[in-house]
Amino acid sequence: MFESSVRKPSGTVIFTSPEGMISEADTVQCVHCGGHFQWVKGSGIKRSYCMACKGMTCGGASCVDHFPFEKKLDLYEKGKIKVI
Amino acid sequence: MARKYGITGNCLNTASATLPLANVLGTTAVRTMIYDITMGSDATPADNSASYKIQRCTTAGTWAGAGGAAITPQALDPGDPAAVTTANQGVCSVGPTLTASSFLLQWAQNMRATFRWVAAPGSELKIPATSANGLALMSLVVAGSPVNMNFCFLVEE
Repeated sequence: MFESSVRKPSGTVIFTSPEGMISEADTVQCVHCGGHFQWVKGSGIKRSYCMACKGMTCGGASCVDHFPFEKKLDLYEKGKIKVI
Repeated sequence: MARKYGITGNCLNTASATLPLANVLGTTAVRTMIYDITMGSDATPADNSASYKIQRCTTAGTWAGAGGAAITPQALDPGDPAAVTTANQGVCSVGPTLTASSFLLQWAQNMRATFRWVAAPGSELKIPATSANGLALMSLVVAGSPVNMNFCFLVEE
């Protein structure tokens, strides 16, 4: 297990150096914007947890309020919101 | 079952906040999803590094700059039909309209290293089913010299 591991990762990044050393880290997907961020224990970056979506948010200002990403996509595709 | 396609290309990673190295565009028919990104360099090894971001865009842009070209996604299963997803690489003469602060993934990479990101099932980077909407590969900061970078996006639609 790495310091950047989480129990339910949304993705994994893998860096391979020229010497063949492999570094891995988990990413977590924000439930409000769909973006991924790397989980770094002790980074000091403030994230939050949405109780309604039951998932982490990236901590961005536009992701503070409950607005599920799937709902955002639907409304955007129908032209009811301008920005996703 | 979703159909999967590979989008491969390369581009000089000149730093720019407005002109991407590549983009992947969806259509009104499907929500294209990127589930795997691989990136490395085929240039002579040196200590050049850069930071990359995947950013949302709402227009295609004009890819008439140096090396600018459309990329035809290749079906991973030869039995699948041609993709409706489109993609471009190279240098834009007119950049796409980028959505401010909508970065979905970012990483920093030395050109000597190879980067790969894989999404867990259900956590892919989704493009809305809206005309000309997509995701752009941006190189925002380059430390050292710009070098040619090769990339591969695996998408499903």
